[in-house]
Amino acid sequence: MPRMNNDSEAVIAVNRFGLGARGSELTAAARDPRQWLTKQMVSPSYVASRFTTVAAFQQFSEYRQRVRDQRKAPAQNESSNMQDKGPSGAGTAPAKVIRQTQRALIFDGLWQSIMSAEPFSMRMLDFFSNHFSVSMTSIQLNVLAPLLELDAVAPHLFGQFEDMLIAVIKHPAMLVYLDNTQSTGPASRVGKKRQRGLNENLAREILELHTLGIDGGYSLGDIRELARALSGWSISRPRDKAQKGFVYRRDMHEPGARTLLGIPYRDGEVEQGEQMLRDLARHPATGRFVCHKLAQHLVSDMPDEGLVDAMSAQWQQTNGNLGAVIRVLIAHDASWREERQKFKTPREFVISTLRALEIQEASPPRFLRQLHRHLRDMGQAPFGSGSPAGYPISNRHWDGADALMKRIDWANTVVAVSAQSNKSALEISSRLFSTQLDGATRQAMERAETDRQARALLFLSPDFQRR
Amino acid sequence: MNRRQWLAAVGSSLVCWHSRGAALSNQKTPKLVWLVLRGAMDGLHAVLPLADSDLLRHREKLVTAVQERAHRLDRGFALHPALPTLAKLYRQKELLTIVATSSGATTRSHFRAQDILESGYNRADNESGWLNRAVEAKRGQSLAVAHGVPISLRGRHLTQTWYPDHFVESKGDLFERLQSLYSEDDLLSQRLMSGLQTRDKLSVIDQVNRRNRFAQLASSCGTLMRAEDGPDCAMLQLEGWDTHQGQVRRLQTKFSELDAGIVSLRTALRNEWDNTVVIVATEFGRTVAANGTLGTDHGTGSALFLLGGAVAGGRVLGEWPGLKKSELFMGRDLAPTSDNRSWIGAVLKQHWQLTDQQLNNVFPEVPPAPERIIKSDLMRDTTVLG
Repeated sequence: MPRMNNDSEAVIAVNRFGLGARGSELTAAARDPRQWLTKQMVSPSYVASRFTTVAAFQQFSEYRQRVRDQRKAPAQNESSNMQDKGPSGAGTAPAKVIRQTQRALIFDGLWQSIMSAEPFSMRMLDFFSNHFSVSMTSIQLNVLAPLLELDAVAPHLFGQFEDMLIAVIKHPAMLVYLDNTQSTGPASRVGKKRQRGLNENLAREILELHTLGIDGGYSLGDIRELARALSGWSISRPRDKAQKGFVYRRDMHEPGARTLLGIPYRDGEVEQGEQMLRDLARHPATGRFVCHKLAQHLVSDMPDEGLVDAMSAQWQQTNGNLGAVIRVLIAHDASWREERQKFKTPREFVISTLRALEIQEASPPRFLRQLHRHLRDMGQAPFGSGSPAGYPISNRHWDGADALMKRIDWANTVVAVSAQSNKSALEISSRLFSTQLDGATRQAMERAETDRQARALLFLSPDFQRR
Repeated sequence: MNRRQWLAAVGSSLVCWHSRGAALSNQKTPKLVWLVLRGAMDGLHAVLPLADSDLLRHREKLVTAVQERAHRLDRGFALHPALPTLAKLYRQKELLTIVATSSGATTRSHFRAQDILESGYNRADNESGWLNRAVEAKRGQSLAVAHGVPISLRGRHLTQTWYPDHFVESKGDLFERLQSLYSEDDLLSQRLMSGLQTRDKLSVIDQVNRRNRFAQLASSCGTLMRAEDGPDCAMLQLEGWDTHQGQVRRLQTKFSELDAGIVSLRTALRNEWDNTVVIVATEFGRTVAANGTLGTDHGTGSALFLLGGAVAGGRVLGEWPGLKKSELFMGRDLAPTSDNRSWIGAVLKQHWQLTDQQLNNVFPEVPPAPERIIKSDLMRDTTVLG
């Protein structure tokens, strides 16, 4: 296949693999579109200063203590509870603090993507954050969930998959979300004394969703063996002063040698589970599963088989080096077909629109400070998929009628509140598509009543909705 | 051309792709509404077992606050005073109350139990919901009144979602321009038309007054369902049932909200109400005894409501397990004597005529209850009761 000119490839690099051009990104990409992508393969330079996992634990402990105090207090009569807002009660600071933290963390994540000079890297972060999906299903998870992406996913984005896997599984958000914190080996000290047992949720989802995939050829016995190896992988208790976060509890760990997928593992402590995760990460079925999903995320719901084959082969050769696998994807011609096969998700749509408008970080209007609410309205609340499988990747989940109406309303509002942008609609369109813009879109924009309407039409055009 | 004229102009072409199911039957299709009460509704406060002499011993303050005004049902049960519409439906034989039911969940975690309630499996599958499997078997259409697709409607069958948003609504001119911009794009122009149709079906009031109150959502849901090409089933949800404290006052509010929602759903459905079954369920019940903050904690057995014009109502069903200490589940909870899924299965069998094989796919672990749930004159196949 003849190589396209750099202009076409740059449009693809910026829109398909990035998050739409911000500023003069397209010009930069046009010099060498593929290199423009590989240069972004660094862990996102996230400003994580606002919050840490340790602080999250602190906040949650305070909150819980407060709730306990309230419950223990003698029952007051009904009328004194008039301002009651659930267990948080009136004026309970910790719950409010947690809500503020939660909002700030979500907002930060979105603004990072909007401002990023490495949009491709942010797309990869979105992918793996969703691959290891945790949802804000409890007050504790409201603050822990965003930290998983920050602490465990981002640092390993272009490194070995096994390192990311282990960091994710040890992260408190995952251990809490998939119920591993209380999982106890029946033959462990605690298991024998208190008749407690295993919880297989985490082990099952690791095999089904994180590594081998549902058709990856594992048995119920494998789930149990992995669950036994992971028993005792827990989190610190609020009163633990020395340690915050992941804690390995020996007295809950099932002793003994294990067998996973036919491979024997010696009796061991935390290393036993770590070794299993390492082997799972390197497994060819895992490579195939993750590569296929990655190609679906970036290129097409039905990705080219040759592309997935090449990526999977690289996975095996490098024991799952994500950077090497992604380089194969970038180098492959199937990734650069002109047809736009992916319908943007709400998140991609919203972020790429705001990038195109060159929204500035300093004091965004009220409308934009509520981005997380808008994404919820569009069905893709951050950390809100409600499923360990994360949000679906395929187009059909995002291109429904109500979804389109919401995009129209949102776009119509955002072009109004961002009126201070000094670029005209046509200028914005050439920064996104150079000369590749569809004739119908150009015509619609030129005929628009106002430039504001022209911008709305641009963002709602098939060119911009698909990538 | 304004939007209405434009819709009228394109209206004829809509029929082609929207009426696959509708064209088959001129008769009305049986409708189903699935309403999930999230947070664990206290079944003992909704349907008070006043005839059980142990009730007062466990939760005197909670009971005495409402028992005088409660609406009397059969078998010594009574409905909470804030549920007058449900009481009226009971008298009109359009409400079945089922006591001591469970979702099949053995966990006391809200979201795990909700996952089980929605997926319909003993071990929740977050990607496959019972209503999705049922409507797929029926080859029907479905609607989720939600931001995203809830588990109940996840799966192979593709559902529509609708929910009011926080955005300023766009005007006709932009839609016309978009329609022309999408003229070469089949998918987008189809979606736009379908989206505009939905907006058109909802009354002006729905559009202007966009606060997300449950009654309004229920009303919009009913309006969308009764439309000619409306969905066969819809899912609604109402949160806020986790009453660890101040239960008397909080449930007074919640039950009023629920009752008002049923009123507006019924009003919006108009004649379709006669073909409708509304299933009202929660993930688990609450402790029999009141706690120290005049609330109740996470428990097990709760209550299930089946209501609608199609329901053969006016009865309290479900075996009563009793409230003696020895009769309680784990010494603290109302012991469930039946599974929600057996009653829902019976609805699917009698209302939607699903076969045993299809039912087994929807709820593999629980067979349908044998009781008559649907009015017999509405049942096309009267042999289902054997």
